[in-house]
Amino acid sequence: MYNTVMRNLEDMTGWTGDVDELAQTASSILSTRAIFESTIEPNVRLIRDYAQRGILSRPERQGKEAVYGYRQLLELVAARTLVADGWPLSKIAEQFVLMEDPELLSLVAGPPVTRTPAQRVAHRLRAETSSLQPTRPHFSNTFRQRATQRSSLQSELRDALRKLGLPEGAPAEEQLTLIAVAPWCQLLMDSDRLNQLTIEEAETLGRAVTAVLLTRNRRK
Amino acid sequence: MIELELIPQRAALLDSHDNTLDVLLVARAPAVPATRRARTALNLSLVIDGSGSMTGRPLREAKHCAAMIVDALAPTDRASLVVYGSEVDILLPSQAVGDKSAFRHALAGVETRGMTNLHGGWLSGAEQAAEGHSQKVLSRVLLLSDGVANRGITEVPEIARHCADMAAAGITTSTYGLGNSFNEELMAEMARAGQGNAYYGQTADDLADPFREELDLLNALCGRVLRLALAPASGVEARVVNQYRVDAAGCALLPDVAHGAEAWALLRLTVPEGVLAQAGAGDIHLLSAHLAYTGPDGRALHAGPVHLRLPRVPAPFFEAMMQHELVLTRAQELRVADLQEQVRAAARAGDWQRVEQMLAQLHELASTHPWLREAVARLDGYVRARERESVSKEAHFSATRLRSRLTGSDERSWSTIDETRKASYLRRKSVQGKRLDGDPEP
Repeated sequence: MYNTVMRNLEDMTGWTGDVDELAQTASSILSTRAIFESTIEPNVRLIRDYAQRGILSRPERQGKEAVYGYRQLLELVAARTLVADGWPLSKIAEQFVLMEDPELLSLVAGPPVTRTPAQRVAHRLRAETSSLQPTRPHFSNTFRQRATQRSSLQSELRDALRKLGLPEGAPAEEQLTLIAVAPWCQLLMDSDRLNQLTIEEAETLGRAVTAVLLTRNRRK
Repeated sequence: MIELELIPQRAALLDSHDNTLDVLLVARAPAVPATRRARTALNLSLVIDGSGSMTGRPLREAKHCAAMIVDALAPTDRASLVVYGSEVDILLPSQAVGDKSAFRHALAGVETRGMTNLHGGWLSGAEQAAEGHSQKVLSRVLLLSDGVANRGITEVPEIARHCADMAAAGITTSTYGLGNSFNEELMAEMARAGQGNAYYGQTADDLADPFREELDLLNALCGRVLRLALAPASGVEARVVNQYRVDAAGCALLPDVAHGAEAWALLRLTVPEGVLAQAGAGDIHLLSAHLAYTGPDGRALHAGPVHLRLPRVPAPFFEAMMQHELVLTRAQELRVADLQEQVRAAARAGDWQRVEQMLAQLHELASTHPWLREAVARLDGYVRARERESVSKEAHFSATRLRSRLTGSDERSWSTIDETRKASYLRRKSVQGKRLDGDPEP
């Protein structure tokens, strides 16, 4: 059944749906994971909470409607799987944004259902000791390893930026708006500042650009 | 391939009497074939104790031994790496050993943590080995610990039962104890139930020998999962003296056997006078033996059946008959093993007076056996120093080894130099917990 789950997810790359359908589909997938007893089934409220936390990426928009896709389905199923294993939401959100679809899919893979005799015995012994075992499942170890690798890279990045003099150790980010005044003349402006621009400031800006250009021509 | 032979203590029964006789069953593997075939593919799970007590040199040496194992594996072999403390981490799930750098990298990152969930670590290793298991491969958990199981399941019988269950499904267990604090009863019983081998090293320096021995054995395997079925004649009782485990079908489970080596079992037969009286003229059929085993390529093979028939002779002839030296030697070794266990029990109870009484018996019993004489002398040294844990471990592992070791074709003499020339799994050490070059010359 788990292999079926895996195969089904792999085949669902074209899936889309609204928020209710996302909740139903994820619940259906998670309910086949008998080893996980999620206390909360995915529902609309949970989905909106996860979206706010950044665990779910933004859906597409068709008018006013949000259209969820395969990516959000993967994120939701993977997040519930990790939560059931004790991972905090903040950590999940931090890592998911850096993970491609195949990586997320690998987190969802569970143990094969078609078991060899040796696997059946191991499974039985595990069930006998399940209340005592602190072993993290394989997918959780995979998540931990990747999170550790990324944390290490992020730490190196912060150190490098700090050495370059960025005070908070993080690259400065600004949103710019490009205005093509003419095909050969483009203005780059801070988007926030542009939104606040007054008529007087726009006129002053225009006169300043004119003055700069005329001064430049005289020098030639 | 494996040849089966029954060697009676005497070549006849004493007429008109109850008889008790020892019979040595030998399962003899041929020498390494001239045209060398590929060895059995291996599927190993390395399970390392990462509890706090392993900090420093013990963990460094454990990593070194694990790396040695991985380096010796072929690209077609599989391996996994598990570390346990209070919790268990699967550092590398079961995978083909194509890129050994992944294993080296994972080993380099092993650090100590917490308490000792030995069973949890073993179970995770067994699960990983189960992932890569098939009839054509030899799957084994190699578990190293320096301590006492104090998290998760800790009871010896329950852990041993789990090892036996996994062994029945094809996942065997070998154990490596380190130092003086580990539970030797647990580790030896896990290996016995798990159809593997139990080793220990007194110090980190002594750890490499056991791993090398296991590796050499795995590389030279001729037959595994040896199941000995005995069919005594009506009225005859047959008992295996070695304390091998018995499966559900009543077959004794002998150790895996390597090329050029012999697995063996000492059988003690009780033949009541009535059996002799009811038998007709001629030799009396006493026993048939049959061995089922798995060959290097995973095929089910058989040796035998072989049959034991002996004539009955009157007393004067019986007394004059020579007793087979090899049968006597094996019986002597097993009696030494029994006495060593009594020494261990007395030492653990702190009854040093009884220990010394047992030791005196051991000295006498081993006096005609050069190897055992030296082993008993070394054990005596620990007794004189009142080193309880050293006495307990050395006595237990020596007894275990005596009962289940593979033998070579010629063991009439013993010296350290002679032993170093043999395959590592055939060497007879005077101290089980020390590497061989620590032995004194006789």
